[in-house]
Amino acid sequence: MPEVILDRISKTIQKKKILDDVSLKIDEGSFVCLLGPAGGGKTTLLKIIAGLEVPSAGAVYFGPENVTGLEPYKRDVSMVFQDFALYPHMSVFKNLASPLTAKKLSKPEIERKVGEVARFLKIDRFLDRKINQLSGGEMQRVAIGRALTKEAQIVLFDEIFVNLDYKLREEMRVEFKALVDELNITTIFSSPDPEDALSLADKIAVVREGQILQYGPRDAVYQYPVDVFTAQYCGYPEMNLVDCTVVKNGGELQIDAESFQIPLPRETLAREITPGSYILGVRPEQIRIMEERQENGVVIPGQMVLTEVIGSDTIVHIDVGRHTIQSFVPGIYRTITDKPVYLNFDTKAMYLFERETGAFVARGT
Amino acid sequence: MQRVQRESRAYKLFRIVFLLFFIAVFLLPIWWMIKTSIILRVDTVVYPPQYIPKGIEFDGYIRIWKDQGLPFLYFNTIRINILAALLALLLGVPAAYAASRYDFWGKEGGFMFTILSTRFLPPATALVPLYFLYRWLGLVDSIWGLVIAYAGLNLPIVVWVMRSFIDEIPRAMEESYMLDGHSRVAAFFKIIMPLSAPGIAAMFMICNFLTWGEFLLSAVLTTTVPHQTLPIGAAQLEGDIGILWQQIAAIGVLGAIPITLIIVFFQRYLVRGFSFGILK
Repeated sequence: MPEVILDRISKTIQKKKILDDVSLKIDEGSFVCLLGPAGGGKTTLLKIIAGLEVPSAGAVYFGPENVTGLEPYKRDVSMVFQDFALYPHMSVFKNLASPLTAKKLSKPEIERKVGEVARFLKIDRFLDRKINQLSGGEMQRVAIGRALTKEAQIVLFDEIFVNLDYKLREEMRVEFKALVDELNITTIFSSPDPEDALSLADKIAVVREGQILQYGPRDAVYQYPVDVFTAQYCGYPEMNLVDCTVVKNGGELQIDAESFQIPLPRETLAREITPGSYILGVRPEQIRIMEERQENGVVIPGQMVLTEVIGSDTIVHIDVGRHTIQSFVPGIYRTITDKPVYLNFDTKAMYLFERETGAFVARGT
Repeated sequence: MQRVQRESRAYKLFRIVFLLFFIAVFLLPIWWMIKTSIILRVDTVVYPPQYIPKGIEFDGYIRIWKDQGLPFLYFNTIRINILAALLALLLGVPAAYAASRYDFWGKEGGFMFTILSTRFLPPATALVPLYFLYRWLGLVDSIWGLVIAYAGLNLPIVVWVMRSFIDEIPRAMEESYMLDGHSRVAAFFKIIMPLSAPGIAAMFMICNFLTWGEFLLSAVLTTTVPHQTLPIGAAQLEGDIGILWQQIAAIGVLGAIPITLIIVFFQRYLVRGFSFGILK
């Protein structure tokens, strides 16, 4: 099972730079998620690995072998496409058998292998059906099945949950994880959804505007984002961001966000910083809402303005003066009280980013 | 309630009359052609004209069979048109595929426009150079000469229509097929061709339809009966002894049969082809 190495890949399509000097090393047998907004180059990156696009510069290696110019049909890669790309004029069986007919296997051999994969994915009942007689979830399974019958070492998945409805997506995600763990293949998965990345992947590569902003183990990307974009993108609901300045007040540093101030004693941040313009970030899931003023951690008084119920959790919007801060609360809350509330979070939950560049500066300890 | 019913009855009557009128308008020429081919020869030129034939003879059909080389004309028309349609599709579908899937220099402005621009001028303007070219190539008065000329007439339409048809087939489908381990050529035959089959069938019909009654090229590029088509045969019946309406009409009746059959058989693909229904 080879590792996949992308060495300084660039791709320009019709004078538009889609990928700009991207390097990535994907260990054999690992699950990597390319996470980022639409149009960032994720699909192009997958197509380059598959051989469907040829990079304008740079090279692709599978293990020691340079495969940059190799035709897709000669590569040991299979791919599941966003809209499944099933062949509508063929039966489910023929769809699944397509990689095997390409290998010119014998008929009993093909039947055996298709049967195995179909049973594995619980689609053996539909083998005779036409594609347009399948539901979205069934199509998904057939698409995955077709990628599996090829028995490729590297399998690419391009935003495969995007076209599924919410409930099905949750179900498929759980199943998919179990499936990939069992198969022991090198998996590269692209998604615009941080939930996919955080729940499925071993490693996350954050892709934006043709560049990889950050690549690392999923928890490291979540805990130590390299910049404001990654911090905000990798997590749902998004991280609260507030423009602030760090000023010297007497001998001590202090964060001044106009609406509120946070004192910064010496050991609060992991490294020393100088006064200047910053962006303060706190994840909503780290913020508690209290009715009484607390003594521990950071406390900011405010007023509830909105409760937004998502699934069985609630995002509470709290007006703290010039800003509205979101807090993620498990459970469903709909009442908005007129009484003042207090936002409370640990100093550990604070992130500081440079105002100008958005680069990560420090986080609380 | 009563009023609504009365109105709808009036509307129904109006609709029937309206439709009968249109049926009459469209069927009258066809009836006239059939009638002319079977009434007595003297009755084809009497005044006032006979709407219902007084006597019937099949002289027109017998004469064109015996004297005008009808078997040649008939067979030629069918095979030239079908071969020309097939040739246009054979060249046009791969060209449309390339235009749809590949980016190459000057595709939109140059290539596609140039293809279409060959239909901007009437074929008559190219007739003389075409004749000299054909004479040089030895294609004058041959079946293949006309096949090539007709295919040339139809090619731009085939390329343009099939290109938008193939544009509708998701790229991911053939990309997926290639990743399964099949070559691009295999993807063209196993994915693109079957999925664009309704379009190909519709274009086959349209190609036949467009060149079936073609006269000018056929008149100039063929000179002897074994290579001529029905329209030429019909035109030659305007001779020294007058216009042989009976025989012209007989050629018209026989000539309409194959193209009608082709249209009846392929018209269901026409609707499907143009609504791009298979993938949606």
